Amino acid sequence: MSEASPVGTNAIDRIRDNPFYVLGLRPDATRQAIERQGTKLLGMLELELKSATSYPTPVGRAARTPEKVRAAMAELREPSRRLEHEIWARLEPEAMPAAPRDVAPIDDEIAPRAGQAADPWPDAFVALGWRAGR
Amino acid sequence: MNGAIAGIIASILISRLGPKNKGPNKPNVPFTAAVWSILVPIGLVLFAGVLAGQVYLIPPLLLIIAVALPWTTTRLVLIPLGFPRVAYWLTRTAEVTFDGDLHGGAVLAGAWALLRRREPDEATAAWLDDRLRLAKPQTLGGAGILATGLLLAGRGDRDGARAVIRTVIDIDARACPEAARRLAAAWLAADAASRGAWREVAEIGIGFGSGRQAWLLSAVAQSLLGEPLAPGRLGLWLRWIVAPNRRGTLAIVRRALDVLDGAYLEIESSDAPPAGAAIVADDAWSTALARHAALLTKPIASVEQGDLLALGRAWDAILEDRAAERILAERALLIGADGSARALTRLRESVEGDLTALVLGRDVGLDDRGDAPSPTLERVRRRVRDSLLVGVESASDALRRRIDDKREIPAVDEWREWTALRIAYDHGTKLAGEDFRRLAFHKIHPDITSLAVWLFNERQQRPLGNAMFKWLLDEATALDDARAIALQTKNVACGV
Amino acid sequence: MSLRPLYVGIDLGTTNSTAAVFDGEKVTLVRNSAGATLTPSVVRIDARGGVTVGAKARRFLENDADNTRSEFKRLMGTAQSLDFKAAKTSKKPEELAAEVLKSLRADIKEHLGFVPSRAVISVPALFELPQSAATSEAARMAGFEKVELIQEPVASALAAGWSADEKAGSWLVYDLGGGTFDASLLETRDGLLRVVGHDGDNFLGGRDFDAALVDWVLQEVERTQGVTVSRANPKHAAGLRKLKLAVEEVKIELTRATEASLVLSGALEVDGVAVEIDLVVERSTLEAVTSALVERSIEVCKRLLAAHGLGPGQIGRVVLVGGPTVMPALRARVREALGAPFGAGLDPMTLVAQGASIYAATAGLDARAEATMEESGRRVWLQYPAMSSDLTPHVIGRLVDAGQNEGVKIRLSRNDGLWTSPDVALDEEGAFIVTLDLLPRRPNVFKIEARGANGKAIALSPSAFTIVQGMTIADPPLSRTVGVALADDGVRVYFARGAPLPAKRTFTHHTVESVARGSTECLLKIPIVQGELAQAHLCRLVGSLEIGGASVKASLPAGSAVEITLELDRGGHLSARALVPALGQIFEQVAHLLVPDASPDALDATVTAMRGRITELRADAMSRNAERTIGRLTYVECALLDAERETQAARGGDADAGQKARRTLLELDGMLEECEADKRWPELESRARRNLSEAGIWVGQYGSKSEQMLLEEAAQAVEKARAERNAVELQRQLRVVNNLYNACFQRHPDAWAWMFEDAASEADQATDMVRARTLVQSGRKALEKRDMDALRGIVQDLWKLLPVSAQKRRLGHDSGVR
Ligand SMILES: Nc1ncnc2c1ncn2[C@@H]1O[C@H](COP(=O)(O)OP(=O)(O)OP(=O)(O)O)[C@@H](O)[C@H]1O
Ligand SMILES: [Mg+2]
Repeated sequence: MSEASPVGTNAIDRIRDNPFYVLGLRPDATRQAIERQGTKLLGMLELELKSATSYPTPVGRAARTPEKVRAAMAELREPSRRLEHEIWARLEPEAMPAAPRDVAPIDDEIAPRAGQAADPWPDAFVALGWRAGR
Repeated sequence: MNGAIAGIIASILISRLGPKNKGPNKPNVPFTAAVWSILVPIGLVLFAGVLAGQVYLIPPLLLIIAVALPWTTTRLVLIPLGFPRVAYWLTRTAEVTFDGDLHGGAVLAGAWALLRRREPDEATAAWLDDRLRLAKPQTLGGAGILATGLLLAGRGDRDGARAVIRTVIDIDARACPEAARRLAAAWLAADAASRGAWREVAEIGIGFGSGRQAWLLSAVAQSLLGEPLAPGRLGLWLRWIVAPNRRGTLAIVRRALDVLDGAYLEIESSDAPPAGAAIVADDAWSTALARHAALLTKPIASVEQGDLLALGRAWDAILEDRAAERILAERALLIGADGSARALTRLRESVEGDLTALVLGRDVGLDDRGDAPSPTLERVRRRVRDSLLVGVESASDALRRRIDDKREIPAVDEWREWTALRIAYDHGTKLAGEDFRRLAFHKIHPDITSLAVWLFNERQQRPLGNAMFKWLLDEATALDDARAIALQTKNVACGV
Repeated sequence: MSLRPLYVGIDLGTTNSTAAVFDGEKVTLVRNSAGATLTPSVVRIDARGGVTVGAKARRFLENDADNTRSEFKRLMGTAQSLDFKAAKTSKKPEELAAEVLKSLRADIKEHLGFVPSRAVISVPALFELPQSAATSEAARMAGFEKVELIQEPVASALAAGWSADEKAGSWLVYDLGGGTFDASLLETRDGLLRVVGHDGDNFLGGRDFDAALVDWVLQEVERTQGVTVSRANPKHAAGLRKLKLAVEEVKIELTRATEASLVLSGALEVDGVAVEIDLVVERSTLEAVTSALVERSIEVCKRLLAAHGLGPGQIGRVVLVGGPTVMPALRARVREALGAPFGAGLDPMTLVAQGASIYAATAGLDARAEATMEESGRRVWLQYPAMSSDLTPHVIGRLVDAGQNEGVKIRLSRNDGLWTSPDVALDEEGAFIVTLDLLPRRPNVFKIEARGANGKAIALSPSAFTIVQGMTIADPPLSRTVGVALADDGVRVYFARGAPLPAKRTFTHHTVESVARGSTECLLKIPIVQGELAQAHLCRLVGSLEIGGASVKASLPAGSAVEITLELDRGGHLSARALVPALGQIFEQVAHLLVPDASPDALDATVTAMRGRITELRADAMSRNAERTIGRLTYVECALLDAERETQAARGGDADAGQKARRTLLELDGMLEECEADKRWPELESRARRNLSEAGIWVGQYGSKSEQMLLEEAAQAVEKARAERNAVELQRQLRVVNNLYNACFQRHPDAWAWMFEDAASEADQATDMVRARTLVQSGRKALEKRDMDALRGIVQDLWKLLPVSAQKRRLGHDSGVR
């Protein structure tokens, strides 16, 4: 349980791996459109086309794999499962570009003001003699 | 002359390392005194000789120093140079420093020296690990536990290392040398600092008792956190002077001083607005989803109680509303699904499952205060509690089976298993409160007591057993469980 | 060699196997050297090691049973080897299946003119992973480069749907084969076939019809001649086998004739006297003895329909598949019970093979060997569905060699000349996407042309491709849920039934046991199970990952995270790996398990144990007047009789019967467990009530304020748990209640004296009687002196000597993770 990771990695998959997002479709897509799009994406992935390898979701971009596409198609074929996925796909994929707060490594001595006072001290182990320096 | 000195030293070393007919862990203090009374005069003579320009006397002098002050030598020379095996052997003679757990101290020295190496060295790590687990009748004490932690850290398992090292303090002082305790505090402080957990750093090093380094870091942490009671400039400098590793700590002390100078004042933590605050969605569905998505992408540490409450209410607006069912039913008809009931059940299941995972991943519980309780959150709270209970219960059952089958594992591993169980227990208490605590305690009390008794009576691990008794006593007291208190008071009284 | 792709499908049946070829328009059945479309799945190996397959081998079943084997499909995935006495070898079931496949492959070669390298093979819907894996292995041994598996009912439906006219509707495929019965509900919509649900009975088929008739014959013999022939006696095995074959012939004859004669002399001997059989069997007799079996199959169908909210009469069409479905009585009964018309013009014996060949097209498994046509020109990678229900699918292409892509235009045209695509430019990756236009229900051949920036034609390889338009099914769905068994006997589902294959999934688990480095005793098991039940021990163990003390780099304490990844391919191969982040180590050694052997002794022991459980449960159910439970117990009892009969047959050397018994017993175990849970609950509830009221008295009298409050809270929680019927929670709360009770009870001055008397009265059960007696004596003395402290120590020592009724049954396949 590392403390920096976003919560519940499996929970986020519910939105990130939603079949509609995986296929790049909206919940009102017809059955045919779903099949057509799925087959097309599988082909594109097989040909290693870059445009197919990732897709936007409300929780950030995600990698597209043939397994995901196949699973998505199968899920949407069953009407009652589809109904459920429609609920979770209500948000526009780009609605909320998740901006991961990437903390740039800071160098204490040169630019102390770059970060906040309570930022981590990544070199602690070396500085305090627990590890050899680089 | 050199030959004679070497002979004396060799015989002293051999006599120390040789098999002892005394019980384990008992230092040979009178013997040490005797050794000193021989070595100190010789050392003085040699020193005088060196001063007089007799350079060839330097090696024997160094040798004498090493034998007379094994830990100091190890700490200042062998560990920085990264000589684990030599560090191990020399520390085997540091009876005064590691009074109570000499064997563990030796492994500790080795493990530390290994950490200082640039390249990982599996073979030596395994060798040191074997010192702890294969030497059968050896009693595991505080130093040995710290050594285990350092070996884990060396393997890159920092979480595991932290969990183990935090327990050093639980070992009775009679089996936990002061040095081990201080080093444990220093490591924990370093670890917390590197994670930016300054609050922890501040707490670890309160008072001089936890060692100079932890003491300094505690002061630094207080300054960084802007605490009113933080020591001032002078206090910081003073601590810096007395603490070791002055060169390494200079940077962080400077950072703390800058805080005192007000350098960071204007960069007040402008935290992102609470999740969903800016969400203006047209309908209940989108609101709930937007909040859900926002919370999932938030860094775990910044998820707050308010966020959860808002999200719970947003879902209530759907799950507790018949209109939602109607909307779904219409849509179901359109796409040929057999009704909306299944989808709605599964939606509820998913929502509660996600929220449960979210709460379980955090360190603060859901308390049931709040003006309008949310039915969704209510169910989530229950799930969190059940899931935490099942975790502790199944671990306790597995432990019970092992005790019944008399399947021994090395003391170090027994301790780690217990530590893991305790962490799960503490985590549960934190998240699910007193209710959890009581139910879990009644479950694990008999099992842990059996384990502790087994370690204490049959397996020469009295310090470990004692630590468990103490913990049980503390918990029993906190829960006001008269019977357990009576039992564990007696057990603790059995000593180590 | 054919210019168009050809697709091969094989039905590897228990009794008969069939191969079919699909060319995009029509399906042709492959005939064997004898000119038949059905090849009996029988293998004979003679003394010189010569292998004979099919009808020729079948003739030897009767007289050379030691060297001739049939029905080995039922043993696929088990460790059982089948002996061939004369050749002094033994073969695994998949090796024999491979022989059948080789023979079919040779027939296909005759038919097509080339050796097929890829094919689709059908398997029963309820096949488990080891069985599917064994089938793939058989195909590999037979020389196929690549095969995919398809479930038999899906194949049947695909074949039926291909030739049907209506576009939408539900189908019920009723497949009664030699040994298995499958019922599948399918739905077609927009040309896409979807499996809605499966059900079936792995042990119901033509052979059960034969067995029923055999039983009838034996009864007749007993009635008229007074001799008893027992199935359990290995001496009768050979005779019974002959009788069975004769009976099967009679059964088949009765499809056309209304009566048939059964004559068998000298085959059976009882106590040295030959049993003569000379009977006339009427069709009505056959119908009478098999009607129960037919009803069983109909029950399964109804259950399946009900599970999907359908009643009889709500399905569009029933497709009959399998030999027994030609029996007139059966057809009549099925039509009546399900109230739907049968698909017309479908051959029940070969439908599965036909469907398999059509599926080969969907899966793009061209039987022609790779790289048959070497064309010159720039290499273009094409991706398109070999079979498409969509009339306007996409084709995606990419020029992969290092050539000039700038300005290149692509154009596609259908070879009837009626459709041509617009010119498409290549994107920066050299790729293009074109939407095609298909003519329905036939193969569509497209030409692909490229022109450079200068307008000059560029040769491409390949320069044409074919897409068949028709009904498709996208991915063969998994037929049984696969997951990891947990320490609390739960199952973490990785792939639910119906999940598309191939599939891969990762979940994080936590260990519940420590693994000490270097200790050979420590072994953490991660069992992988397959089945639909929520309790792991009722599911089938199909593999197991192990993390042992000998292989870990460092000790792993309980509670450590383990990331488990399961991967399943279309051939039933399961791979699993466990990553332990704390160690940075990966464990991949999967112990692949076989279907466990079913030894008659073990089976008998289980039957006996179950009898005991039933008696106990029945007594309790009677006293509670629990009618549902009583009904269920009666059912279990009847089924147990069946299982016993099968066990007897297993003793007589019928391995398949043993498997059937094992299966039945597993199911019955699940039912009994449900009954036991039903029984436990009222017990637990009444215990809760009792404990609570006792605790109320003692805590009220001797408890502190806070203890009284605690009891109050616990009482409320107990009530809540009772209302929710939550046994786990109830037990938890009871621990609290009992603890309070004990604490307060012991405050009574005489408490230890009472407890002493209690323990002393049980002293004769102590593990160490001598010591127990001494303790009792010293206890009496302490009691006289009223030395309560001493007494207390004595009581506690006594307790240690008394047996613990700890339930140590290991559940959940001994899983070490949660
Ligand atoms: N005319 C008939 N009347 C009754 N039963 C028949 C008739 N013809 C064949 N059978 C029975 O059908 C069974 C074989 O059917 P089929 O060939 O469909 O099974 P299979 O495909 O080999 O088995 P499975 O599908 O279970 O693997 C045999 O038990 C045979 O006795
Ligand atoms: Mg069949």
